Amino acid sequence: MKQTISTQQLEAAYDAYGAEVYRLAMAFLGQHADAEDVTQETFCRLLYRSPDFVDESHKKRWLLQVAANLCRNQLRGFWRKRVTQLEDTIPAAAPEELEALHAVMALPEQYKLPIHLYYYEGYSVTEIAEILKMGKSAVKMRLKRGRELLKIELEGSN
Amino acid sequence: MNINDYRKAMDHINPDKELKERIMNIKTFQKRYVPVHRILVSTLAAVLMLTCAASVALAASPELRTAVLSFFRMEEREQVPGQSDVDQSDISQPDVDQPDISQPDVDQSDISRPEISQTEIGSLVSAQYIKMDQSYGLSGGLLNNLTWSDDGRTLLEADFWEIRDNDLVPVQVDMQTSQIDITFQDIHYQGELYWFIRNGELYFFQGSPYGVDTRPEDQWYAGSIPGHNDVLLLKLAQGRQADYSEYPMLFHLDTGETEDFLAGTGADQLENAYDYSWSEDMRRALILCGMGADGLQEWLCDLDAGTLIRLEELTGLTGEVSASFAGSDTLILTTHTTSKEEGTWQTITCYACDIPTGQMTKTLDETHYYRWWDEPYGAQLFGGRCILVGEDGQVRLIDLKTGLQTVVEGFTWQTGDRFMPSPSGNKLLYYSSDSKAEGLGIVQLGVVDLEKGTFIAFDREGYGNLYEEGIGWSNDSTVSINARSSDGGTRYLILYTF
Repeated sequence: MKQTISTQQLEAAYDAYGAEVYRLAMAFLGQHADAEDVTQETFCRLLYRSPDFVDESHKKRWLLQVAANLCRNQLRGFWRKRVTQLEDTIPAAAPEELEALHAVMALPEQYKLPIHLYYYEGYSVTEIAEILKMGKSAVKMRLKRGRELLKIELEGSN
Repeated sequence: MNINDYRKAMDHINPDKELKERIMNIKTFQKRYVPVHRILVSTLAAVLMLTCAASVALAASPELRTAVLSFFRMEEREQVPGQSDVDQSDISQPDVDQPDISQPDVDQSDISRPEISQTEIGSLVSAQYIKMDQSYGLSGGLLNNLTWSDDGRTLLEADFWEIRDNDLVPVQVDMQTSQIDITFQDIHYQGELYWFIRNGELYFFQGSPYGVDTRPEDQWYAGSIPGHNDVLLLKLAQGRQADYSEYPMLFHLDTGETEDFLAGTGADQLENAYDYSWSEDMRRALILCGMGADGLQEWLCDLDAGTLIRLEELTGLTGEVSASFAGSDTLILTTHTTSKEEGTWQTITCYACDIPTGQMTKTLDETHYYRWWDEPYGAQLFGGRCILVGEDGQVRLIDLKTGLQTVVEGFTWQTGDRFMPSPSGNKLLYYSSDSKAEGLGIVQLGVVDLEKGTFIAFDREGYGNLYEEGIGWSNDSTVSINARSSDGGTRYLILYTF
């Protein structure tokens, strides 16, 4: 299979966005091993299937979009459906931080990514709609619902 | 707690440094990343085709056979107890005569014990509420509390309780220890395996899967073999991500010997084999191998015939195909179309392939794939069965082996509904979550018995009393919910027997 970018470009992209891709996968899947799988596959697709990027922010959005789709595919697996489990897989952090993290990770699947992209990555509703391939109204609704469910103080904390 | 806490916590999460190395080595390996074993079952799709190619007659008539199954929503509701309720005096305290494999003289009064209460929901379901000061395990019908050495290699102490009606009865077990000491492809797999047989059922617990002098990624895992209590399946794993591979062996508990049961079939010579799925009788295996830039290859190994067949060579389907066993003699093969924009599945087509004769039957044709995030209707696959949710919420269960469609009457699919197959695949757990609740917030719980053709469910009240973390099958007749108190200090295990 032909590469679409050079190895140097791959490394630069990983250095710039690897952690963001990994964190998005962690927010959605909650398990390090699965997040690693998604991260690796995401950058593999960058290596072999990436389009021409307009700019760096386009590249980052594309990576997060691929990662989000891979996360959804992860949950599609037959054996995954045998047990649903919210897990504690988070490194050492202050209790209130862990509590906030666990609250987001425990959200129903459809709310996690909008919440993460909006509050952690700082994307606008329009950008999230592009990344997640859904309408802006759907993004707004999920953000609203996600906020209601979180029961943590989301606003006024920037 | 506010969103800044989330941001700070997320900032702590960083990928392992080795991940970058592995990604950068994708090119060095001269092979494209192989979707890792964990993603497999979903993306699984090596180019697999049905063995039965030219002579195959595609009997594309899934609509021909239809049955009806009625949904029975019980009038009785479950009253989920809160922490204070479970503390009431109806809770049974187990006796103090507990087994201890290493410290027989320990003061039993110091050992904390789980507590249990029980109720009936109508006459169809029994529920048991087990309150614990820490996480206990559940295997078979026994609750366990295992204490391991700091390195996770040695079992220091083990307590077991049988869940018997409204009692937790301490039981003595004859715990055996087996040493795992195998060298395979120059890797020395070591560890300890603890096991006992009770009422004909094998219970086993493994220590650390890491060898003393091996890389962390070289691990071994034990798995049960249905119908056997004298032998286990050992999975010998090595490498990570693109390098990951596995090899199965049998471990005979009575002799402590390992058996390379794939030897001579050709499967023992496969490179980069990293996923094995077994037929019901374990006499056939589907083996998935990474092929670098060429994607994946899937092989069918027949232990009795001693043959290994690349499925692609034996079938006529083109494109990506995923395969699974239905019983011992049938393969379910699924092809799909993909969304160009998202790369996710759009529609699926399923075939049942009778392995001995090679006859192939189409049992699902170009059906919209269930996409919970934007189009929550269509087909959801569960091994040999499929749930088809109509745009109007009507649900059909489809046996992908026979094409038999069963209409579920009186039930309408709602957002938040889920099904989950039992270990045998003959039952489906049904639950519906309250999206406003903390945790899973399960408002309705039920079971579809595909053999009996029944579907019963009941409503749950007070589910918000506990933070529900997980739900799943404990065995083919018991569903369990893991929960905790709001402060996390007390854990609960709720068991439902249908």
